[in-house]
This record gives sequence, C-alpha cells and structure tokens, in this order.
Amino acid sequence: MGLFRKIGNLIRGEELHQDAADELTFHLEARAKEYMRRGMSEREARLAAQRQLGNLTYTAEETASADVVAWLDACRRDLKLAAHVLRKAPVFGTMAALSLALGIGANTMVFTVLKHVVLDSLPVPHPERLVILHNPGPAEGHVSDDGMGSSFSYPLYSDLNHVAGKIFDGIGARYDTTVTLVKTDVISRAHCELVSGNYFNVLGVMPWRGRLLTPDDNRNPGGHPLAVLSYGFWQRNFGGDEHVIGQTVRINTFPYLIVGIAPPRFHGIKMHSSMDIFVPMMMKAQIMPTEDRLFDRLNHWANLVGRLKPGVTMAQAQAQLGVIYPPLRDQDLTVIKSPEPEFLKEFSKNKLELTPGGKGYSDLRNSLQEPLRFLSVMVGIVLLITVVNVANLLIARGAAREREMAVRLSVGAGRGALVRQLLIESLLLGAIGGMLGIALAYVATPALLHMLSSDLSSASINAHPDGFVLLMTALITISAGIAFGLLPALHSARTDMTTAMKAEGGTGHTGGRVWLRRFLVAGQIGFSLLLLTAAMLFTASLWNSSHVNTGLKTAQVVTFKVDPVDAGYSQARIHAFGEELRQKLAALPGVQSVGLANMAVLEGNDWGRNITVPGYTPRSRDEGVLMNAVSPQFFETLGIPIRQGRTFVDSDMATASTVVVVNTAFVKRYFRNNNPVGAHLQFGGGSGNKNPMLTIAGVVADSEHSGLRAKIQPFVYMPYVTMPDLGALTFYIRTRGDENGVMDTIRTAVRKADHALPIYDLKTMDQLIAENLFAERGMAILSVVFAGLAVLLAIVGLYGVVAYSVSRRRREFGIRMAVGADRTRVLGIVMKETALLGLASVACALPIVLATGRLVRSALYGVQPNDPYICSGAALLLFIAAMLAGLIPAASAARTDPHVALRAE
Amino acid sequence: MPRVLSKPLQGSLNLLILKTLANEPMHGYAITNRIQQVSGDVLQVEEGSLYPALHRLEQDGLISSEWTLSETNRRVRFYKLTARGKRQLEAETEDWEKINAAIAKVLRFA
Repeated sequence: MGLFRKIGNLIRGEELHQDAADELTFHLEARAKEYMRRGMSEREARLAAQRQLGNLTYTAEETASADVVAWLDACRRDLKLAAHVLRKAPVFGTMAALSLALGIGANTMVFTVLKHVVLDSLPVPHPERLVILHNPGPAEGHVSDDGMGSSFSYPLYSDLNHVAGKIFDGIGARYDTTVTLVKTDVISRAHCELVSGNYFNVLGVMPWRGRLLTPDDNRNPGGHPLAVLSYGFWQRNFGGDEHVIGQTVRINTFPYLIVGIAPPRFHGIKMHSSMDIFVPMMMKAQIMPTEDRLFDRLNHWANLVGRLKPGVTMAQAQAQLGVIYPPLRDQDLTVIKSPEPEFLKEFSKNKLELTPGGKGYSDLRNSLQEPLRFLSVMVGIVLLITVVNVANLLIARGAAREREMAVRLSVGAGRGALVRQLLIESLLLGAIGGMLGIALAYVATPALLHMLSSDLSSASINAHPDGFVLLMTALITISAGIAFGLLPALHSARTDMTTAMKAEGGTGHTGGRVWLRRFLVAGQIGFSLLLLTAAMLFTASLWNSSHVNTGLKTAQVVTFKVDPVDAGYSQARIHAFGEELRQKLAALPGVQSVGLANMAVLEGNDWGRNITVPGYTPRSRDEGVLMNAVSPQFFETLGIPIRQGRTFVDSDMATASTVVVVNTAFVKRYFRNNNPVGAHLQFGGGSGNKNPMLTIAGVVADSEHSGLRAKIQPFVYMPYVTMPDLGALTFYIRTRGDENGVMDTIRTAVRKADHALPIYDLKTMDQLIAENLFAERGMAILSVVFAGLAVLLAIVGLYGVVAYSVSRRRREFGIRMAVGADRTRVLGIVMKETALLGLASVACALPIVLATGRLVRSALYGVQPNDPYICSGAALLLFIAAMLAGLIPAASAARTDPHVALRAE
Repeated sequence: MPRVLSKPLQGSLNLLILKTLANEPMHGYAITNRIQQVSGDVLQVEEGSLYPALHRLEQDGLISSEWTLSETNRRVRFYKLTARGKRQLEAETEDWEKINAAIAKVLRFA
C-alpha cells in the first residue's frame, strides 16, 4: 500500500469504516434474500446470513485490518482491554505504577533542576552570539575577581569596545555590588549592577516599562544618577506600580531617578542571582564609595560580555582580538612603576580569551553542576531498577497468565497481536506511572532545589517542570514502558499452547523464567549496591566536613553585618560607630563578648597581601599572607585561643596603631616556630617599601577563615581602625543561653544606634556553617533517599523471586518433609538459595562499584571512594537485607504441610 | 458436506477471486456465489475472510473497486481486475497448474 494511501486512510478513518459497513450490510441483505427465496423466514434468514458472515463488526474491522486506522483501532481496543486487565489486578497495578511514579518522578525532578540551573540560557535574543572576555595573564595592581575570571580596567574596556567594532556588535561591561537603598521610609540592602551605557543594547534587552540605559547615560563621572529596576524588585518593593518611573530613590544616600523597569527574569549576565537595580558605571564613586578608581588602568574589576556580529565565529573573533589587543595591553605598561623583567616577559604574552556567554555566569550552576551530574546518574539508576522491578512483576504475572495467552493463541490471535497487547498494557502502566511522576515532580522539585541551595531567590528560578522537561519525561516514560514490557511480552508470546493449556496453575514452562527473574534481581541488587555505596560515601564525607576542626568555637555565637559607608559615614565616623556599637552590644543582657571584623569568617572571602619580614626570604614573588582587620574580643568571641603574647585591647584601636597579631602557621613559616612576640613585619614587598613597620603583639591558634575546608594559611590580624577604607563591618557576639532569643535584642540595639543603617545577614554561626555544607547535606540526604528506594525495590524484587520459587517447589518440600526432612532443613534450603543469589549479585557488583568510585572522588572530603569499611559495609548491609527478604518465603516453605502439599496435585 | 476454505488456503482464495473477476466486475456477494456455483458447491468461501482478502488484493493493486447503486438504491462496491491483477492471475494460474500436476504425479506414482 502506498504511503499516501496509508496517510489518506488515516485521515479518512470514519469514511473507511462506513464503506466497510455498507459493503457488508449489502452482502448480508443479499444473502438473507437468497435464504428467504429458499423458504426461510425473514428472521431465520437474517440470522443464518449473519452466522455465515461471522461477527459483523469483527469482520468489518478485519476487513480494514491492513489499514492504519484499523491498527490504531486495534490499539484502542487493546488499551481498553489493558485498562480492564489492570483494574482486575489492583495490587500489581498499584505497585507497578507507584514504583514507576517514584522512578519517573525522581528523574523529572532532577532533570527539571538540571534544565533550569545548567542547561538554560540567558533570557535574551540570540544568546549563542554572546561571549565572555577573559584576560588570564598576570596583572599588576588591584584585581577583584568574583569567580567569573573576567576582570578588566575601565580604560582598557572602553578602548576595546572602541576598536572591536569589526567583530562585535558591542562589548558591555558590568560589576555587581550591594548598596543601601532608601525609598521613603523603607531602608533595605539591594543588589546593584553597575553597567556600561551599551550593556542592555549588547544583550538585546527591551524595557518592560519606561526605558533602559543608553551610552548617553554613561558619559561623565558622577553625572548620571539614573536607575533601572529589575522586574522582581519592582514587584516586591513597589507592588508593580508604574508611577515609580520618574520618581527618585536614594542609593547610598544619593538620589537617583528611576527611568525604567527591566523585563521579568532578566538579572544581568549573572544567572540565578537576583539583581535589584541597574546603575550607569559612571556612578561607581557613589555606588562603591570605598573603591572608585574608575579610570585607573591598574584597577581590574569589570566583567566584559560581547555580542559577536552575525556570522562571526568565536575562533575568528579570537584571532581578531590577537591583533587588536596587544597595543591596548601595552598601554598598561606606561603606568606600571618599575616592573621586574620577569613580570614584563610574562605580561607581554598576555592575550584575551573568549568563552561562550550565552549562559552568562552562575554561582549556582558552578556549585550544582557536579552534584546534579551525580544525582542524574543516581536517579537514572533508580529508574533502571524500577523498570527491572516492573519487568519482574510482569514476568511473574506472565506466568499466571500463561493459560490466558494460550487460549488466545489457540483461537487464532497472532503472536504479534499478543506482543502488541502486552506492550500496550505496559505503556498504559508507564503512562499512569509517568503522570503520577510528573505530579510528584511538580510538588517536590522546589523542595529538591531548596535542599541543594540555601540562597535561592524565588524571583530568579522557576522550579517547575516546563514543556521541554515534560517532553523528556514523556520520552522516558515511553522508553521505560517498552523497556520493561518488551522482554516479558516476548517471553509470554512464546507460550507453548499445549503444555500451558494442560498444566494446572502454571507449573510447566517456567524454568527459563525463574532464571531470567533471578538475573534481573541480581542486576537490581548490583545497582542498589552502587547507590548504597555512593550514599554512604556522601554521608561519610558530610560527617567529616561537619566535624572538621575549624579552630573556632561557634556554638552560641551570633553574627550580623552593617555597612556604614553606604549610609554615607566618613571613615572617622565608622571608627567611632564601631567602638560605640561594640560597647552597647556588650552591655546587652545575655551577651558575653562582642568582636567585629572587616572580613567575614567562613563566608568564602579572602584578603591577602605580600609582606616583608626582616630575616626571611620569600620563596616567590606571589608568596603572601591572608589578613583580617579586627577589634578587641574578636578572638575571645570566636573561641580562637591565644598561644603567646596578647590579643588586641581597646587602646590598640587608634588609626596610628602599629601592633598586629599573627597565627601559628605564620610563626611556623616566618619564624620557624620561634617566639615572634616583639618582632617586626611590613606590608608590601620590594626594596623601596614605604609601609610602616609593625610589631607582633601576640600569636593565636590557627583557625579556618574563608571556608570550612580551606587550607590553613599564615595570617596577620590588625586593628580594624587602622584600615584606611573600611566598608561593611561583620559583628560576632558570644551569647549566654539561647542565642536565638538574643537576636531580637541585637536587632533593636542596632536600629537604636542608627535607624538609617540596615542590619543584614543576622544569623547564628551554626546556621552559617550549615549553609556552608548545604549542598553537601542535600546531596547526602538525596543520595540516601535514592539509595533507600533502590534497595527497597531490589529487596521487593528478590522477595518476589524467592516467594515464587517457594510456591513452585511446595510439592518438593512436601516430599522432603514426608521423607523426614525437618523444618530447619527446608528453611535452610531456601535461605541457601537466597544467600547464593545475594552473594553472587554483590560479588558481581563490587568490582563495578570500585571501578566507578573514582568518578565521585572530587565530591568527597576525608574519605576515599574505595574505602574498605564503607564498600564492605554497604555490601554486608545489602546482603543482610537480602537475607531478611528471603526469610519470609523461607519461613513459609518451612511451614509446608506435607499432607496438603502432596494432595494439591 | 462441502469443504470450507480455511486460512492455510488463503493463497488459493486470492487465486479464485482473481479468476472470478477476470470475466467481469463483480461485488463481493456475487463472488462467493460464483465460486460456489462454478465449483459445484465443493468450494464454499468463508465469507468472513472474503472481504479482508478483497481489500488486501486492492491494496496490492491487483484489483480495483468502485461504488455504484443497486436496483434497491443501495451502495454496492464492484471489484474489477487491474492490468497487474491480470498478470498476477496468469502467473499464479501457471504455478497452480504446475503444483497440481506435480502433486498428481506424486499421488499416482509415489
């Protein structure tokens, strides 16, 4: 039959049926007339004619059986039958659909998160033409890098943008920071993105309301107090009121005119962050009061994103940049004072690199990419186990339905039709499981996401499955349905009619089935061992991480931040304010001690410099120390013990103070563990060092600074008031009793000190540590959940196989017991079988577990992927679970009554 | 009791249909009657398989069909042989005769 005809038939379905019906009706009438002529009554004649033709509808459909419509119709019939079959086996149906729902749901959830976090591009037109510019080579001066690996000085940026018109539609620059924002009486902290005039243009973003910024809004330093609000910020803080356009808002005490609203979901090129407000880069001095240096060639800070001209490839652009960048780069040399020859050599090799920018930059993506990859594999395995489980259930049912199949074969059903019907049954099961799974994903994906990341703004991420995800789920469901349905279906279709019809209760033709089922169960146990081991490794890693010795006593310590600079404070006023607030807080009831620092502890921040210690030769030019500027009581509050000398006291809190405190690692490197108290050091390096000589007043024990598992580094602490450009202050308060109760008191005290100064990040240190371990905890919990699910499914599968085998061997056990075997012996026979199956599966899976372990090595802390205790522990645990599952049917076998068993056949 | 053509004889059913239609276009009912008549009631077409066979032959392009109105104003479907059908009929007839002759020989001499 021609393809067109087939398609035509598909469209003309109804007509085709009508034709077939007409033809047969005519036939019947003609036949009946003939019979009547021969003397039958009309009724008899009709009946006889019908008998002769057979079932009218059946024939009509058979008539069109080669047609697509008929095939689809047959499927519909099969579907009806399948629904009927499932309704008649509610336990099987429910178990199968539920396990599928869990398997498919888990996959949909993880894929939803994967899609939104890893796969999605920026919500801008043609994101594939965006590139991020990097300058990886050595740089002189100040480099601020927030992880994007793209830091440029403003002068270099504007030169580049000027000459790169051949390859780029434009290059935009941006930098993000936090600001204090005042709108009438409401004071809040807001995420602000400083952007070049062409930024929105380069990204191709259209205003939602009002207008966005243009190059004309970014001409003169300090001359463009204009702001664009993000959609989310506008909704949250202004209730989506369009009248805010044209109104002013105070940012860091300066008034800005709101000119427009950015479209929903747009947060600049940092994805999964929540940018609140966009301001022209020329306002840098006002937005970041402590660090302006906008036109300083040695201040590298702005991130650059370019839009390639249509048709320009990355390689072409890269080649072009190789030509236009070197002259611009060498302009930096005019401002670098007395560079060392080695540095010059390295510097002259500097070149720009491009990376695809369509997905922008995302901290969330960076931190979740690896966990999500593991999770994808884990849920994939869970689905596989689920599919095998359902296949196993179907095979078991196939055994029970052998007679049904045989009867249908004997009345003329083709084996192909039988396979089709069984496949449609599994697809129906799959569809039910899939729909339940999607429902599960809708409910549980936000929870999954919140388990993996603590700082999610609901504005920037949509945690629900979208069309693409649903399509993938549908594909998974269909392939799963075919996967678990095909094997049992083919198996069933091979049913031998005669033996099956003869056999009572399906005892014939089952040997192969038992072996197939054992094989499938062994696979399930093997895969669950893989997941169980992974779960135990992640849990052990989490345990190690959360019990790492930080050198800090964090219990009962509360922390918060304020940013007096953004509120317009002068440096002198910050010092006075810091000291005053410190004393006020210390006097609060329930407070034991108060310390403050310039750099927050355990929040991922580092601040370092190179130093000169008389008598010590640095091993390299880059060797330096980490630093923090702190107040008296800082060490006492965080529980960092004093080793030698003293820590800071109130009288050290003067801008001209020259005392410092160092840690043990510092003493080890610079003083070879000799007592350094009273010795000197100097910030900066080189011969013409003009920095003041500082005196070491004391030594404190080593403690973690940037994160829980950072390498301990030599550390220099200085009095915070000696910092020339203090920004935000982080306070630490050791409380007595319940730290949560003290938080409200602290909040009130800070508001009383200055109501225009917003307090933020108020939390306990233990909360902070929990946040540090958030993704790991989520990973551990999820892997335990998935592994538990996998083990449960495998054990249910094992139970099913053993129970089936016991039911088949009833008679044998009856005979054994009749000839003198006792119950223990029968129990032993079944348990031995179970143990063999369990051991064989575990033994086969262990090498795979050991081989794949190295894939998770990078995600583990303090535990090796082939840790013998964990690997053997997981194997043992699974083996015990398997034995327990076997115990139930074994006990049932032991209860066999020989009289009943022998009479049964 | 006349024999009934059963499924294994499907191939011969096709041949019978083609041969019957070789003389003139006919509707399904007439085909059953003609086969029965000509074979002297030995061959009785199983009516349930006649129509599927007709449609299969049509799909294979060996016969074609068209609708006309009967005297009683009913829609009747007439089948006729196509050129391909004629060639097929000749080929199958030849095959059939060869096989028949062969079987006859075996029955006689074996």
